[in-house]
Formats: sequence, C-alpha cells, structure tokens
Amino acid sequence: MSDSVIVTGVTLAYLLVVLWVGLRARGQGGSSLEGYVAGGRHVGVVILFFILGAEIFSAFAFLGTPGWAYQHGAPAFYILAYLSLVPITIWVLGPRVAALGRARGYLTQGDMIADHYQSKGLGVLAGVIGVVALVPYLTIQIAGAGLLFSAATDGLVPFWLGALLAFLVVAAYVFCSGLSGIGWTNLVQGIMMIAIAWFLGLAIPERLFDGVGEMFARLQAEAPEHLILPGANGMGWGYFSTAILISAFGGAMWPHLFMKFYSADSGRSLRQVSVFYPLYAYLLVPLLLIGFAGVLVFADAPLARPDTVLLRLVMDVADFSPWVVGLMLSGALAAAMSTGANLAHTAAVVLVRDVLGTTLMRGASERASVSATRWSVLGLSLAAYGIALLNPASLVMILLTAYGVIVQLFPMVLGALFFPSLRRVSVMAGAIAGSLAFLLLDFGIGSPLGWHAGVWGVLANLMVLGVCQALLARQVPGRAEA
Amino acid sequence: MSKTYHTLVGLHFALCTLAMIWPGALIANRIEPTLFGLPFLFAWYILWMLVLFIGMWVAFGVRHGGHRDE
Repeated sequence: MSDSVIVTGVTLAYLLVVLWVGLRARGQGGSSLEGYVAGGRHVGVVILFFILGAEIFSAFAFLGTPGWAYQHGAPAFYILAYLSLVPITIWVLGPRVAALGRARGYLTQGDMIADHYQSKGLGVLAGVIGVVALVPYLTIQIAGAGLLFSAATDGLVPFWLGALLAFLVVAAYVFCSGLSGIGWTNLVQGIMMIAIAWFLGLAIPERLFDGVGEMFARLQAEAPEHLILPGANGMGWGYFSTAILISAFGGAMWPHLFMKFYSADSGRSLRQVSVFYPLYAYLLVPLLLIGFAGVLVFADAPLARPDTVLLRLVMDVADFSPWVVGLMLSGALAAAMSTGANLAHTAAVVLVRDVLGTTLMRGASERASVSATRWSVLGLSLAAYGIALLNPASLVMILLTAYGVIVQLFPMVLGALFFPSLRRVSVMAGAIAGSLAFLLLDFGIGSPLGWHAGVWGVLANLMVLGVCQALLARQVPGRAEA
Repeated sequence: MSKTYHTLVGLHFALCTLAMIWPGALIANRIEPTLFGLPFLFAWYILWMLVLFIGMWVAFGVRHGGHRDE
C-alpha cells in the first residue's frame, strides 16, 4: 500500500512541475492568433526539436515499441526505420511550407490548400478530415494515461481519475499558453522520456541477464526467430517495407506535424532540426531492448496484452523500488501528455480556423478566434475524455482509417508547394480515388501482394491525377493554371 | 553547385531509405556477426540511422553553414 503512495506521490510531483512550466510560458507568444497557434513564427531550433520529437513519440511509441519487439521480434525495427526517416520529409517540405506560411499568413494545412486551389470547400474538407482523425488519436493518449496510472499504482489511482489528472494538466497549459506552453513542457517531457527510456533499457537487461550482449546470446539460443525477419509471426517483406514508406513519408500529412512547420523562426531551423532528428529516434533503441527482454522472461507464460510488457517487467520482474516505478510512470505519462497536448491544440485550431472560420464564424475578430480556439481545446479534450471512458473498441480502427485518408492529401499538398501546374480537379479526383481504393482494399477485398493498403491508395491517387492532368491539358491548350 | 547538391542529397536520402527496407535490409537479415553485443540486423538499423544523421549534417553545413540566411 505504501509503495503505491510513493509511486503516486512521485508522479503527482512530476505533473505539478509540468503544470508550472506550462503556465509560466504564458504570454511569451503574445495574445495574437499567430502567437497562440504558431508561437508568433519565432520558435527556435531547440524547442522546435522537442516539439517535433515529442509529438511523434506518443504513448504508442513508449508502450507499443517494446510490445512489438516482445510479440513479433525483428518486425519492430519498422518503428525504428520509419521514425528515423521522418526527418527527410521535414528537410524537403519544411522550409517551403514555412516560407509560404510567412508570406501569405497560413496557419493550417486547410489555409494553404484552400488558397492555392482557390476552393474554400477543399479547405473545409481538409479540416473535417483532420478533426475526425485527431480526436480518436487524442482519446488513445488519454486512455493510455489512465491505464498507466491505474496499473502502476495498483489501482490506488483508478483509470478515470488518472486520465482526468493527466489531461487536466495538459488542457490547463494549452488553454493558457498555447504553443509556447507546449514547447517548454515538451522540452521537460522529452528529456524525461529519454532519460527514463535509457535507464530502464539498460537496467533491465543488466538486472535480469547481466547485460545486453548476454541477453541476445540467450535469445539466439532460445528464440532466434525473433532476431531476424520475418520475425516470430511471419511478417512479409512487402508489408514491412511499404508500411515503413507510408508511415515515414505520409506521416507529415498529419495536421499536428505539418502545422508546426509554420511555427519555425526560419527554414534553416527546420533543416537543423531534421539533422538532429535521427538522434531522437535513438530513444526507441532502449525500448526495443526491454521488449526483447520480455521474450525470454515471459517465454512460458505469454502476456495477454503485449503492450503491457514494459509495465510488467518493471513492476513484477525486475523488482525496482517504488521511486523508480514512479519515475517510469512519469516518463510514460510524459510520452502520452506531450503528444496529447499537440493533438488537442491542433484539433482546436483546425476546428476553429478551417471548419468554423469559413462557415459559422466567418468574419470573426482575431480576439474572438483566439478565445474560440482556447475553449475548443477544453471542449475537445473533454469530448476525448468522455470517449475514453466509454472505451469503444473501434477507436484504433477509426484512427487507422482516418490516417489512410489523410495520406491521400499528399499529392494535393505537394502540388501546392512544388507543382503549380497541377489543377484543382485533378488533385481532387486523385484524392477521392486514392481514398476509395484504400477503403476498398482495407475493409473489402484485402491488399494485393500483402502490401500496406495505403501504398495502393497513393498509386491509384497518382494514376487518376496523371490521367486528369493529361485530359485537361488537351482540352484547354495554353492555360497553365485552373 | 545547386543541382549537384540537390542530386547528392536526394541520393543520400534514397540510399538510407533503401537500406532500411527491401532490398537493403534483406542482405543484413542475419544474427551473426554480432556488433556491440547486438544481432547484426539490429546493429544495421542503428548504423544507418547514424549514416543518415552524418550525411544530413554535412549537407546542412555545406548549404546553411556560417551566417543565417533565408
């Protein structure tokens, strides 16, 4: 009992520190919309690095990565590969997006699409898709925080209270401080995550097997199939490779990642962040080690839920003191909260600017927009909390489906950035064809060659886009832009 | 210089990507020899992450080193 009290105390202390840092950042970005949404476009390299890093390293990365290594083995390298390839997209797209945003006042993806293609409808559509995708994503972070709390404190802090505590803190600093609050807290949370992950990743193999090398020597003798592809459950090369490609390059279409390009103080800063980004991806290495330790430890009594492998090892097997368990809980909460803060902030901005701003709130003053965005942060966080309590099992499916559709925005965004000759009709037809192809393959007939369905969607998208461009070029000779 | 620069950066990105998926990872799909106590395939990914980092660092220095522009 007293152990649970120590765990809870350590974690509450951590939450208070985060709250204090987040509220202190208030006023740094100014009270303008640009300040609240994009930190006044003055966010420098260090904070930008932690914002872009922390929003991708979610509760899923912290718990799911060891879970994958434990369950599948080598296919978990897919997470390592795609996260280290993400900076390529930041390098290529980032500076151009930042420059366009500065010149034309864009703050969202929808802004850019609606302006470039001269279509308000297209902007609203991008906004609606964004919100539909972001809310389940936020719900998963909130549910993750609740599960972590109740497991690590042996139920002293129940699911509903743990989820509520973590997200009241997040909603409070996002409400008050906007992107500046997210930036400074992500610095703290990022350092916390990295420190805890490396400590546990080295300490667990050391305690249980006298070191990492010895652990892998035993794995080679007892479960060698975990160490090479196709892994323990036979994941094919086609799926492995296409899943990496779609996650690494389609990932930048997530509004919460894409919108951060606008907040950079210069294109140079974005390039510098992408240079150092692979170093953030090394955070996954210790998490993979923990998963591999689980393969040996739980060889005789497999876990019902693979994503609990980190929790079970720390609490039941490695026999750490409650102070360490409290720090582990704080580190895992940091992963959930730092991503959650970005998601709540982005969903609110997209809702107010792309969806309401062009419809119900047309012509609203800047002050009204900031205020509406703030209250939307609270409203959407509460909605996501409510959904987390109901805990519908279809949540992950909604998320994956929405992601498959979001990726289909890729050609449209590339067109707005680099290919001015692409016409509105072509990119729309392409996006619709790509989305339908993805949905059909994912829910209907199954994906050919066992590839990731998103890749087929993008191929269909590009084919339709190409055909439309060719037809239009013939119909209206001499007109470059529609 | 600009065209050569972009081609080289593009090639570096393509090489790192292909090393991490089929067919690059196919040739590294083995346990022996172990490096730093890690199975070969695991070490392969860690090394390519480093290659990606170093290449981008060099590219950044060539283009954006010195004074702040843009």
